[in-house]
Amino acid sequence: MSKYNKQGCLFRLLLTDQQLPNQQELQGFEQEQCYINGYLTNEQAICAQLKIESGNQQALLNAALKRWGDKVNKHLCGDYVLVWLNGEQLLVTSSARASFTLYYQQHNGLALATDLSHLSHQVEGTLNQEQLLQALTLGPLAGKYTCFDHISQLQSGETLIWQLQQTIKLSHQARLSHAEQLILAQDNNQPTAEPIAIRVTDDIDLTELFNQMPSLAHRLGEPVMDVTLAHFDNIVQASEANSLLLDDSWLTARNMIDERSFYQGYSWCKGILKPPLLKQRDQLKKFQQQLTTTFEAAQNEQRESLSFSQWLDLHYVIPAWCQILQRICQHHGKTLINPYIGSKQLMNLVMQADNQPTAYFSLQQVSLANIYDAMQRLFHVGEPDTLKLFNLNPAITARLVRRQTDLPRRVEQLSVILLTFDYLARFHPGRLN
Amino acid sequence: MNTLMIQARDGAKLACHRYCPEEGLDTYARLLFLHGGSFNSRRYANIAKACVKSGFEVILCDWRGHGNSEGTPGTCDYVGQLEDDISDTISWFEQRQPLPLILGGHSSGSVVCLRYIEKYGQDKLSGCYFIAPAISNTLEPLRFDAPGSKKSFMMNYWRKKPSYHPAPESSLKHIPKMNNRKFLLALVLPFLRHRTVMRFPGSAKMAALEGRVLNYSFNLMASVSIAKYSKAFRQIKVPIALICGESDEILHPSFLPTVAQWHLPPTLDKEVYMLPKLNHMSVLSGAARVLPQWLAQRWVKSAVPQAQEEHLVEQVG
Repeated sequence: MSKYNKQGCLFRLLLTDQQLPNQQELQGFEQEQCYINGYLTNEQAICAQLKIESGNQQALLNAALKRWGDKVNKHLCGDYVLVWLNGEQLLVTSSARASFTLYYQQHNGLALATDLSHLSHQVEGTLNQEQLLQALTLGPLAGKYTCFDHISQLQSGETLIWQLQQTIKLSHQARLSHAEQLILAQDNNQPTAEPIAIRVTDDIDLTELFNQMPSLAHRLGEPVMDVTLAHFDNIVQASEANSLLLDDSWLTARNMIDERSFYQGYSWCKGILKPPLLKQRDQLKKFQQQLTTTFEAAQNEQRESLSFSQWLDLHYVIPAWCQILQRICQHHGKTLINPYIGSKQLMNLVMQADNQPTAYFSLQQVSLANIYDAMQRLFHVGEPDTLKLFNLNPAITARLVRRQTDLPRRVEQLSVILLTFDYLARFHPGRLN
Repeated sequence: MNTLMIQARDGAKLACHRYCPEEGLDTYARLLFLHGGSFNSRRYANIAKACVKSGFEVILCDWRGHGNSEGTPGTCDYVGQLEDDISDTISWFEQRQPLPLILGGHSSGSVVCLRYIEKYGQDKLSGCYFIAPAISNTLEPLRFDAPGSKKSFMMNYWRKKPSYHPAPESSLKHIPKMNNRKFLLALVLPFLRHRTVMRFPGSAKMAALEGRVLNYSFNLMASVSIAKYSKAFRQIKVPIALICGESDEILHPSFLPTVAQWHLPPTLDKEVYMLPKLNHMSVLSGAARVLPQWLAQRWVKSAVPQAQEEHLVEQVG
C-alpha cells in the first residue's frame, strides 16, 4: 500500500511563495517520494521491467517516476493520480481514463487536494457561473474547470509540472489523446473487489433518498447533479467491503446527451435563469462549438464510427460520471474498481446507450419528498445567493414543474441542482457568492 | 418538586415547577421545558422525573394564563410575549445558580422555544430539544390536509395539489380548529386580537378539571406560530434532539428527518428520534425514555466519549 492510502484517502498540499525556501516542511511531504491515490494494474510487469522486488509499491513508484518522469502515465496502467515532489519540481499526473481526481488552484500560491471540498474550504473560490450554466444544461462533463473560479481539475491522462523556485510556475502541461487513453486503459488485470449492489429503483425509500442529498452536496463540496448519485451514496454507505466493483447499472443511469438537446442547451429552462447566468450563453455556445470541432477532427483523424452524442458520451460523460462515483466512494473510505475502463467494455456501453433513464420522483407521488413541491418551497426560503441566479417564483417554478410530464429526468436534475445549490449557499455562503 | 413564582418583565408571576436531583448528587445541566398548547406542566411530570434521575435539574414552566401562572387564560398582551417570558425565566435562574441550560418543549411549546432562539439567540443555551413541534404555518409539515389546503396550495404554488388527505375522525380530537373569519378580522382590526380565533377540541367540563385552556386568541395563536421555521432551525448551533411519534396526528412523519437534513447545519450535533406507534400525546412516554439518554450522552461526564468531550470543551472555549 502506498503512503497515500495509509493516510486514509486524504491528500492536501498548500504551498505559498513564502514557503518555498523551506520545502522540506511541506506538511510531511518527503522529497523523491511518490504519493498515489488509486491502484495499478500492471505492477508485476513494471517490477520485472525495473528490476524491483515485487510487492514494494512505493519503491516501484519512485523508480518509475525517476525513469520515465513526465511520461510515467504511459507506462503505469491502472486508475490513479500520482504526486511527486522532486527537488524544485512538483509533478502531478493521472492515468488514462482516471476516475480518481485531483484538484489544484494556483492563485496566491499553489494548493492541491483530492477532494474539492477541502480545497474550496481553504481557498477563496468564487462560483464559476459559466460552469454552473454548463452543468444545468449539459450535466456533468469531464474537463478542466470546476464550479469554482481558479480551482481546476487534473484531467485524465494529464501531467503537470510546477517549478517551485522563487515563484511557483507551471512549466509543463501535457495530456494523452483520447485514442491513446483508450489503448492504455486496455489492461484488465484489476484488483479483486466485491461487486456493488445493482441499481434497483423499485424498493427505494424516496424520502430517505431525498434527505441524503444535502449531506452528499456538503461532502462533495458542490451541488448534486443527479438523484442517482444520492442513491449510489446510500448503497456505498451500506456496503461493508473496502473495494467495490462498479456495476453497469450505475453507468447506464448517467446523463446521456442526445444531439438535439445538446444544441438546444438551456432553452427549455431559460425562464428560471436570471441575467448573470444568461450572460454565460456565449461561453456555453463557444464550448459547444469547441466540442463539435474536436469531434470533427477526431473523426477525420481516426475515422471513428461514432455519432457525436456517442463520442461525447465516451470521452466526456462517462469519465465525469465515473469520477463522481469514485469521489463518493472515497468519501466513505472505499475504492471503486471500474471494469468499464477498457475500450471494448466502453464501446459496448456507448453503443447500448438507450433513452434517458426514468426519473426517481414523480408529480403523482404523495410524499413530502416530492422534489417538485420541495423546489417550489424554495420560493419561500430560497437564499439570496440562489435568488441572484434563479427566478424562484411560483409562476415560473410551476411552469417548469408542469414540464415534468415531458422532460421528467431533466426537470428532476434541474431541481436537484437547484435544491442542493441553495443548501450549500445556506451553509457555505462565502463559497458560492 | 417545588413551585417557584417568577416575576416577568410586566409584573405577572409565572409558575415554574422545579425538579432537582437528590442532595449530594451531581447536577449536570438545567432543562427548561415548555408544555404544549392548551395544556399545562402537570402533564409532563413523567419526563421531568426521568431526566432528574439522570442528574438533570428540570424546570417545567407554565405559560402565562396557563396552569398556576398569572395572566388571562387564552390570550397574551402582544405577539411574542411568551418568548419574552422564557427570557425572563432563564435570567432569573441564571442569576441564582448558573448551570448549562437546555431548552425545549412539546408541540407548541417547541415552537415557542424556536421563536425564543430566533429572537434572543443561543448564547445562553447549551442544547435544545423539540418534541413533536407543531409547526402549522406552512403546508409541508402537516400530516393531514386541512379543508382549505387545496386552495392554499394553489395560491402558494400556482398548481393543483397532487393529493388531498383529510384527517380521519380519530385524529380530529387533537387538532385545533381555526375560525378563519375571526382570524382575518383580528388581522385587520388589532382591537379584536384578544378574542378567540382558535379552539382546541374537548369538553369544557373536562378542560376545567384538567386545567386546560381551550380557546386561543389571535395574539396567543400567533405567539405559538413561526412563519419561517427553516430560517430559525438554520441558526441553531447547539446540540439538538428532534423527537416525534411515527403516528403523530399533526406532523408528517418525514418532516423532522427532512428538517434535520435540509435545514440544520451539516456539521451540527443533531439526533432525530422517530418513535414507532406513538402519536402526538403518547410520544411523551417515549420522550421520557429517549431524552434522558440523549442528555446523558452529551452532558453526563462519565458517559461522555472522548470525541464528544472534546466537542464540549470546544463549546465551553
